[in-house]
Amino acid sequence: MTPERNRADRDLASTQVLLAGARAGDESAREELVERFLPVLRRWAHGRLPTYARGLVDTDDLVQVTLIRALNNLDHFEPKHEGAFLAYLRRIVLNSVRDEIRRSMRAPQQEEVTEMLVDRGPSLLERTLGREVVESYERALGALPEAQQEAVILRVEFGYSYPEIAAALGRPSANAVRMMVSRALVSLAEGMDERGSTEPEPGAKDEP
Amino acid sequence: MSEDPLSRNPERRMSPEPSERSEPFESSEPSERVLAIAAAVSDRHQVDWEHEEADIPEQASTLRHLREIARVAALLGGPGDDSAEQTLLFRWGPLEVLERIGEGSYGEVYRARDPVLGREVALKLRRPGPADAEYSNRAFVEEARRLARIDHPNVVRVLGADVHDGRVGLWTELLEGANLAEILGRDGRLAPSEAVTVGIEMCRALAAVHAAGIVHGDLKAENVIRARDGRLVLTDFGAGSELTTVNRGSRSGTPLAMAPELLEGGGPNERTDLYSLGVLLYWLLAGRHPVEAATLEDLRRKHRSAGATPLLDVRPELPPALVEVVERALAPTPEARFTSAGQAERRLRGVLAGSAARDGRVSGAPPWARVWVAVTVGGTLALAAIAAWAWLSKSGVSAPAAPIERQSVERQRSEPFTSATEPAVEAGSAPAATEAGVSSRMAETTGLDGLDVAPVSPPRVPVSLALRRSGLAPPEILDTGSSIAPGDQLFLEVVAEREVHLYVLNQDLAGELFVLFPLEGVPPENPLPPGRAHRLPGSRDGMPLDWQVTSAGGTESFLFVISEHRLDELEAELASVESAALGRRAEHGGADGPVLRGVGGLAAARASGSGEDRLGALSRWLQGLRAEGAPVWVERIDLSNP
Repeated sequence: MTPERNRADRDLASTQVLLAGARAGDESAREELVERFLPVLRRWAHGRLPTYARGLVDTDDLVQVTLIRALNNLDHFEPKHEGAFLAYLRRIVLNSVRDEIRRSMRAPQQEEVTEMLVDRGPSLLERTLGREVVESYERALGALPEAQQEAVILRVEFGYSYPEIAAALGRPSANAVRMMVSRALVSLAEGMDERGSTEPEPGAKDEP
Repeated sequence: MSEDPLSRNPERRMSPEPSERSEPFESSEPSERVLAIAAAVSDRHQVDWEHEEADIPEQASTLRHLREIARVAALLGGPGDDSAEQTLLFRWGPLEVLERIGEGSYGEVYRARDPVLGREVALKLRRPGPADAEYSNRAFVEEARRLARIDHPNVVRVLGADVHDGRVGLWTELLEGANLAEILGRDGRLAPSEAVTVGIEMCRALAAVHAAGIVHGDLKAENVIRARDGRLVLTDFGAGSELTTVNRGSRSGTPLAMAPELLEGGGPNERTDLYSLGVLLYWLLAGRHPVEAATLEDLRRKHRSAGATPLLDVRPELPPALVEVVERALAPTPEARFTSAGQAERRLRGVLAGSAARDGRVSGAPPWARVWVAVTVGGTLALAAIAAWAWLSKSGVSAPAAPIERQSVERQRSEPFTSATEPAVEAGSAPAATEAGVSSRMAETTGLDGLDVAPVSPPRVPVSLALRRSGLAPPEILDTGSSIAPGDQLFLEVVAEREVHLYVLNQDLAGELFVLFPLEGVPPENPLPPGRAHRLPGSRDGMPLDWQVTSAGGTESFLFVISEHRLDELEAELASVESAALGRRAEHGGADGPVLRGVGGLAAARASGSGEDRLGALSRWLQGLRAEGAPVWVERIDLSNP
């Protein structure tokens, strides 16, 4: 009767260990991390990133390259828990997409990049919801306190179950996480309404 | 939006400008309805947006964005409950079978969808049977139908059973969550109170099952799920079929969890289930089985000879009353065990009641008598204050519009803890608990373990507290229900396991609120360093200070807020609250030395109850912090001051 969805349960203990290993140059730890997070990120990226109908770099490659870059860069980031690591990965994947788009705008002479972006359309998300909505979602999400951001990302975007989120964020209970996500979603929805009150909750960090 | 309870109290003095006092007591609390919709979005349940928008047009824009978020979730987060894009493995009767989620000796478990009801279910399909399959299929369905009549929050809901395509199946609610074995594997052995809570809830489950004339036959940690909604649910009735085969003499349970007479070929009954409950509790507390063996024969031999390893040998610090309950459940002879699940439950409740009753009630108790409760019961006490609010509001002391958490608290209390507000003390087990104050507090404590949110493994309260009346030797510990009188001098003993911020507030029945700690110019100050005892409020010129009771009339409430971090919002709010002040000692003050005025500042001439709002608002805010997982604990003690 128990759904076998205890991915986070299984992984939590060793994610930190693996990150420490990767930081110390342990190749097998890096591989294990790639194996663990690549599928999750790819599934997410499928709907989140611009679709490249053709080109040198497809979504999957971009995700993989970003993940490997992130692992090379661990000296600069020490995630508190698996959830923070995923939120970090998500952010840098989105950033690298933006960078590539910007780069292509600035340097249209770069053949491969141009070609890569020729057929770039909006992401599945943007096609479905509209660019404006996605932008206001991103903005409001960025204004939430960090823990809420991570919980929302894990639940809404990565489809983690509540027990998985509890484990990934080091929270005591699944139900508390559910309550936290629900409240965060209300704040998020309120924040998406530019005309409405966007006053952040206590403890919210300043909007960048 | 909830109405601000404070706005109905024109006499409140703490925030003269309501419009300026927005945080934390008046944080923009989303309405219960909107929160429920947000929860549905998060749960991936379908929301009737048109209906909701028509119903609460003032929230239309929030709803519109929630709907957009729901679409983000549907697009990115994988298939939810209502997605039509799920892969159909096969059909079985009315169900669309979507995913295999488990397997056992009886067959497989699938996630399936009931298209008529529009919900997902767990479907157990039994392996094709032997020659007498037809008979056992019929018995299986019959048994399942009896299970389906059980309607209990601690028992998995059986939705149906049938035979299709030659395969017998049983479908139940789909529970998502972790089972106790996974939780134990992740978090380690349970604290006594947590194990007791599991025990109480499983007793209720067994009582419901036994009342339906069914024996579970395989109660063990893997079969108890802490569901997403916080329930502890007994699942896996051996797919029913095994009930039948068990009844006919074969063994299908898990040997290490089985009563010795089953290993010798006996049949299962209520008492064998209760034995398994004992094994479960033992395992949760000790992290091992009472009798361990590598082979069935070895297991039988050990049962015949040495029997169970005494629980105290494995965990010597456990409360003796709890050990007694577990060991009685594990008695080798069935006659020596509990006669029913109800009897076991009463004894377990007695353990909780007894621990709270011992806690600080007895004059001359050892100096750290609170330690067991404050540290070991941990999360229970932390939340006890919150349940107290719910209880107070139900009793009409304060009736602000209920935030959603409190409603869920009440709902959960009313389900698995239908008698939670009644004293639940078995005669003789805890005589001190019959006093009103303790028994009601106890009841809340009992209810609480089950209420949040999954306190199977809450973070421990990192401090132990003892509020004492000085002048007696040894200083008497005060707890809810204790009486104080003008002139009494009180102090608090605190030992922190790690650095904490502590805030002590006092409110009298008239609603006057005082800050008792921290106090300017009176060391120590926050954060309190760990590892040594602090005597609060502190000292002045090397002389320890007490708080002194300066008036009479009604009840004095003490609220202890413990946080791992500085609570800036609370401190800002408390800046406008009067602090206990160094003053003249009352005429009949007890001990020598200077005292602080402040416990009960004014005579009780004002309307009673007006101050409850203030603490109610405070508690709601703290509750919100807790709901977000903040390391904040609250404890409240109500002393009578006639």
